[in-house]
Amino acid sequence: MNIVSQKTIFRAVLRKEWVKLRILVWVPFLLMIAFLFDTYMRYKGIVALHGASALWLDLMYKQSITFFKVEWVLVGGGIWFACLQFLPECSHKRLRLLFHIPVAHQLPIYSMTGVGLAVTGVLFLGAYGGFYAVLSRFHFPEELYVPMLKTLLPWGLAGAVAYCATAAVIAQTDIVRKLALVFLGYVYVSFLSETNGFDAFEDLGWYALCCVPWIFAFEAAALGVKEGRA
Amino acid sequence: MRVGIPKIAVFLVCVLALYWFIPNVYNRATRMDKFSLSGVFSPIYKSFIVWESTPDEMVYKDEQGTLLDKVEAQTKMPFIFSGNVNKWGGFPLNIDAQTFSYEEAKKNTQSMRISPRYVFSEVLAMNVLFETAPVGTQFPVPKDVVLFKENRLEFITMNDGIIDTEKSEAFSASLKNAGLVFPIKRVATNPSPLKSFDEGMMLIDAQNNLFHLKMLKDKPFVHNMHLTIPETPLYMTLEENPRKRYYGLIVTDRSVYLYTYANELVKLPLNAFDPTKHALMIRMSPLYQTIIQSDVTDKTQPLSYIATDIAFQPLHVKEQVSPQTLTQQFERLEKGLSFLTPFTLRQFSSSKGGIVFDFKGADNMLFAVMGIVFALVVYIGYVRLRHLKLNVLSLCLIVFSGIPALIALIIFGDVGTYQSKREQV
Repeated sequence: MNIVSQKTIFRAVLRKEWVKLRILVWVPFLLMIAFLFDTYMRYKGIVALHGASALWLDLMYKQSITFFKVEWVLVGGGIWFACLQFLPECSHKRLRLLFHIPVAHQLPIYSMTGVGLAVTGVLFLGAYGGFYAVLSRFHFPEELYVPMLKTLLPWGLAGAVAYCATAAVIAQTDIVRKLALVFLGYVYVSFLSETNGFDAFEDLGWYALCCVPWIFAFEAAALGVKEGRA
Repeated sequence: MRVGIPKIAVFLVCVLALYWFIPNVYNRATRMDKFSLSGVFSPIYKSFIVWESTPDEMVYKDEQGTLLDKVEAQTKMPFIFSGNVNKWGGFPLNIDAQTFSYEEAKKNTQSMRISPRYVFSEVLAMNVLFETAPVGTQFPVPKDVVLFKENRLEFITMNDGIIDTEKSEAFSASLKNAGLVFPIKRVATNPSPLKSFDEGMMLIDAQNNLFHLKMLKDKPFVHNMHLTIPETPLYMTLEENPRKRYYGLIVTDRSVYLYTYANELVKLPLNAFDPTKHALMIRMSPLYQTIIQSDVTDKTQPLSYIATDIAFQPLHVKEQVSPQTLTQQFERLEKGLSFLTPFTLRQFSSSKGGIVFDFKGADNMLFAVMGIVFALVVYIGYVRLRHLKLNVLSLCLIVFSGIPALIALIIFGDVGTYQSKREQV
């Protein structure tokens, strides 16, 4: 009986997330396409005006990161998805309902965050694939395009952190803790968005490990409701 | 006592963020005025003249520390400040029974520098190879780039990404015929088209042998320099200096060498060189050379000035520490940071390129402990003030993490909560 309940709840959560996301989830994807096209046009403009060698040498020796807009869409996307999911979820004290269903509250919480992180992951993969497609148009060898693509990895992490932080901020009812979570999200995005040429993060694994606790931030914030602070 | 994973997670997020944020803000807020030491061996005094630079001024001193007037000091360093000395009528110059015109002094002066950040920076496995003998006066940017593959060179045209198989095979075969063993370990070139002449590329092969590669009328020109680097090569430069005496520097795990147009390796007479710590500035003149060796990881370490003859045989050595007031100020700042946080997370290192994960303990243990004690006292006071129960786990976390843990616990609450009576039933 309990297993059936968990499955039912899980399906219900997925359906609920789909209802919340279905209309506006596409906005970051459309922005991503727009900014990828912008990057393509920027590169094409350099080639048209100064020749392919100007673009190649600039990327090889200056390692100019001219695809910032693509990177910021990952962070913006994370914030957007969290808002779509958790603003309706947390308004009018609806979050309390999570603690009054016949399954552990972790199931709906992590199902919701799992959906959001999956969508953020899809956005990242879209950016990664799209950027690869742009770079392929300019015939870059793997010695050049692999470091350029790897430059997106910490931004992918920043997107996931932005998602978790926004979810926690929305769920948090205490104003001081809300502001503190905004600050922590800002700090994490700041150090994940540092730049120093292509594929600059030498120890990305350690940075990824530092981001893992963010997965639990929404539950920690939601527990405030359970503990009666709402 | 029950410990909730979500609460521990938020505590970790907060503490890690503060380990990065506190040193970042602290260092920006307490940044000292830039101060640097430099100097050169004066061919006239036969001793060092050093200069101390701040953002506002440059002060010249002799070896005894006596202040020198700018004109007086620069006149005693005629090869380094040849432009000014020429303006003041210092040329032709007679030193050590030799006469130098301004043009000779200018032409025979050269400087090179290295720092750990350059040595340990990752570089892309691709480069451009210029035509050494261009038709015109300028060096046109090549249409292709060279990729350094495991067992060959590959030329790829930038316009269409097509591999020029014929050229790739010709250059790879020439290198192999000259004795080069793939893969290539290190490459040095000057990718600027704004140069007066071109020396192509220097390559260190799998067996640490040095080769010179040029492109002459689109054909390979390879010269086996018959020089083997005796240690592990880490970094190489190619200077293309009109003096045409030294090609550049080769940094290994233990030494620094100059490689010369006479196909020789000249080992620099350094003081226990460590490539992860030491930066070098080499000032060459027609009579004496000056090497300045500094430890970029520890500002309290003395700077070494080494004067040599033109064959790099040491003549005179001087060590200089930064002024005591500066060192004291630096130590005071270290103490302040140690008090604020027992651990720091830094992303940029003076000894490595790229963005690193430099997580380390406080520089001053005493002040770190004082910071922890302060945090404990504040926490106990806070608990008493709010009539809360003292949480042992929170105390342990403060002992380990200091003030960042205190901030996390005050904002987000204890990570372990004692079960209420209702939950215990």
